[in-house]
Amino acid sequence: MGIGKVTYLTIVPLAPKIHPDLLWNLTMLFSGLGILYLLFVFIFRNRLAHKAKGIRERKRELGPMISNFLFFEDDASLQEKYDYVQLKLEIRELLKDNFNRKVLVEILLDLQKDISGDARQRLFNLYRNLGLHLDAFDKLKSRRWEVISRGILELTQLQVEESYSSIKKFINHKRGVIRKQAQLATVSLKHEGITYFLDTCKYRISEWQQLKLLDIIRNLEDFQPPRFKAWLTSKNGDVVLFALRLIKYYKQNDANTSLMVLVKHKNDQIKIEAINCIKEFCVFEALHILKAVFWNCRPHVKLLVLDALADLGGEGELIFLKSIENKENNFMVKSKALSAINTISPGAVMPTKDIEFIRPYEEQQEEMTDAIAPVAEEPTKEMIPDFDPGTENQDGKMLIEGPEGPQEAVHKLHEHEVPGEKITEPEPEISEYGEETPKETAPDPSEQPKENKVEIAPVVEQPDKNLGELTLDVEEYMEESAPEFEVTGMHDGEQAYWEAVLDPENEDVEIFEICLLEELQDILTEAERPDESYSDDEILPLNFLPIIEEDPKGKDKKEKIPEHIVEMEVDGEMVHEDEKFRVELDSILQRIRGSEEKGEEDTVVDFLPLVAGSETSSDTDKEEVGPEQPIREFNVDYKEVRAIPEEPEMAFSLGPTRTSLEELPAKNPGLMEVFFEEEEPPLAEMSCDKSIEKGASDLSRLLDERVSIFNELFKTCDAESKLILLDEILAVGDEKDLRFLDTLGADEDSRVRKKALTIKKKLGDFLKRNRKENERMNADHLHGEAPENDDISGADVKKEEPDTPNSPAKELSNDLTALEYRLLAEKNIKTSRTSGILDVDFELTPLEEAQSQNLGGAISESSFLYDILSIPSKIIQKLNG
Amino acid sequence: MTTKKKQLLLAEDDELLASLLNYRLEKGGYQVHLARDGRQVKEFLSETIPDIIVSDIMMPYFSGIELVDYVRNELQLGIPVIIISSAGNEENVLNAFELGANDFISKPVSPSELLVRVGRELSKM
Repeated sequence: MGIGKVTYLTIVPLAPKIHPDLLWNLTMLFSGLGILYLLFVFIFRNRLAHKAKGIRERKRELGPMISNFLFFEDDASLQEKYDYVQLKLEIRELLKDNFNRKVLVEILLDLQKDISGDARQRLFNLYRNLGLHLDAFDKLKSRRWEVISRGILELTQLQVEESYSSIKKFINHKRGVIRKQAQLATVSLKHEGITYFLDTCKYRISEWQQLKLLDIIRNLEDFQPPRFKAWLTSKNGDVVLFALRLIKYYKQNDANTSLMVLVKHKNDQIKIEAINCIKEFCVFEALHILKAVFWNCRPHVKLLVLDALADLGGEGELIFLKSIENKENNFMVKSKALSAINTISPGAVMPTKDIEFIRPYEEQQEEMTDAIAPVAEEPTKEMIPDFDPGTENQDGKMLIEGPEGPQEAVHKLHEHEVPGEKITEPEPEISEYGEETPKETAPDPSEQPKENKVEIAPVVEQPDKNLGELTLDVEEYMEESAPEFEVTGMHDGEQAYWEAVLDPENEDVEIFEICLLEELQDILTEAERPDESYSDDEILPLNFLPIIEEDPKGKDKKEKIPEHIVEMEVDGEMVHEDEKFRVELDSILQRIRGSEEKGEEDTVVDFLPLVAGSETSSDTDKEEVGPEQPIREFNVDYKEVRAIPEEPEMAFSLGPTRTSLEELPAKNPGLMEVFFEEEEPPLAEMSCDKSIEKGASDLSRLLDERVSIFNELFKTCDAESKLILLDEILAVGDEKDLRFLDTLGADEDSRVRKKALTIKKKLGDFLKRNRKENERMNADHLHGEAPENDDISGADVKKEEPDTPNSPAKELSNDLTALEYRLLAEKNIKTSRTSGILDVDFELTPLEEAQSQNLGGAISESSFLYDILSIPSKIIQKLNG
Repeated sequence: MTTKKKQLLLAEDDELLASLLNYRLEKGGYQVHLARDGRQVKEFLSETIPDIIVSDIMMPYFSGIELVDYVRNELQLGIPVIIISSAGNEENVLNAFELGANDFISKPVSPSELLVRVGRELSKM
């Protein structure tokens, strides 16, 4: 009871209320349908199986009978003939049953697949003799497409030629299966079937169908293919295409004209087949058409055209193919064009992509031969920059010692890097990247310097820049058998670097050689042209007397200087060309040496280009010797100076340069003479009791005034400008310009040298005359004579002003003149002798010229003032014409 | 006095073809033993040693290649073996020749040709 209360409504409260009887009825209905379905499946399956079993059994029964029919021979025995007749009667009885007919047809269809030869032909005959083909004809009349197709298949496979006319009607059947079956039957039943098919086919012919048709045709016995060019005019594109393929298969080369026309066909497939035929039949007449249609084709057709052109074309097509290379954007087409060019003209187009340029071997050989000679004659100085002086050897040098010189030393290093591998081949090598890796060859021993030490060229540089002479001790290295070589004067980092570089286990020895040789070559090159690598800022302009003092303080300072700088060998060529400095220095050295020769004093001050530690230090030094400084600050300990050894290397001190002027005359009269010649009586002749401050100021003034203002101008101007400036020197020059003209005797330009000599001579004569005139005028003035010239001129001004270098007016005049010419030079304004700020557009008369020449010195001394003062007169003269 | 017919083992799974060839070979003077698959072949060979074997290369349970290998390596028999192969099965034919097959004939088979080949192989012995 309790169980009966449990219904689906109690379980699913929201379910619709359906009467249980209805549910039971539905359940029974669907169960019955299911059972019925399964029953039908079972029945039909058993039926089919039973039928198949019956057919199989019937085949097993009829099979030997068929064999008897197939292999019956006329020469058989009577018993065999009797059995054959009995078998015929039996089979005719069987053929009355449709099932047996079907089985016989199936047997014959199966056997025709597995047998060949005469047995197969007998089988076809048996099929007709038994009248089974009539059933197939009846099938053709059926309205069911599968029956029709079955009938066509039987007639086709059992080769019933009589069915040809019945089957060919289905060629353009609306149903594809029948149509295709009929096409195959038509082509296979009779030889003329292909022509009928090509003539009448209206539908498309699939690729697969074409293949099957072609397979049937090529297996036809004694088939004489028609001239398929007749169907090249078909309106059915597939017929044309199939005809082209048949033309190509049967090699019918009588359709050249049509082929050339079909190249222009819109259908790419037809176009391709036509091109293939042209290529196959070598239709040379089609080349121009191929070229004409090329640009209208798609890329895959272009490839075929190019292929045909490559096969058929000659040199006449090269231009067209090259135009394709230039115009075509498609890479494949372009590449095909290049390939075609190479096919026509082998080697016409060579690979260019990623090809490295390598000079001919002969050129490399010549270059190496040329390079070896200068290397052998190369100076033995080596410089390795960026070297930490704090870790150098005690000499501050890095010496490459060896009997062969640096290049040979490097070579020997290489030989030690790669044991057993001697680098003696002078030929350049091509690295894996195709780059030439020139090998340095050992220089001729006869040309090698005997000096074992290879000293690096001196370098003028800031001391904190870690620069020094580096010398590799190659002898040491050569004596050691170990692959590592010792480089003296290297700090740990450098040592590790060289060890790593020279490690014999380095894989790429060639790369190492290249790097090392290039580095050394750069060093040599840099050492040969040091002037280009150093700016003015790096060199302290020595516009002061480089007197060296070694006091205890200076000693301390010297000790702080890196030793490599102290020991640095100074090459004059390395020093920056500062004329202001060089002129003074040369003259000083000449005088000092002159005094040495006279035996007056054995003090030698080897002035060397001071290395500027920094601008601050140089400025400090300047200030120390400035005019504001008392002369007593110039303290020179000549004992200390003498203590400096007179070595050829010219060691020098960077110590304080302050010295005492009181001691200078006694210690170095020649030196003093340099500073006080002509302008002032030598300081040595001055009494030491005179005011020291006056001496200091005089010294300062001399230091300032000794250099010609043209010095700076000549540094930056060209030869033409120098020639012009020389004229200006003649116009405004004075004693200091005479000394400057002396330096121009070493000018690069011969014209400048010649003109400098001429100007110097003229200026000297002019100054002499001027000096005499001044002396005469002073004498007259002292004697109370009135001046001859009443004009307000520079001469007058000069007369009025005391002719002392230290006078404010003179200093102002000098400053203004210098400023004037500096401005003119900066503005690149050419000045003439008479040119001033205001030009005068008239020529002076000889009298006026003579007067101006007489006043030239004074004018030149105060040209700016003269110009200012003469402005009103010039304006008046201009207004008067 | 009647001459003893040469015993021929025909291994072919296609009944129609087998009966056709059987008929032709018997008519050609051979005593033909039909085998439908490899097991029947083994059973027959365990009892009788034929004079010649004609075998299809594709059979159930036991292919023609295995038959050649079985005859040559296990039974150590030197009797001729002719292989019937379908077209496009040249690789198997080569394998059969490597294993010791004497001849081969491709489908569709011409019964007359097969008869000639069998006679030629038997004449070599």
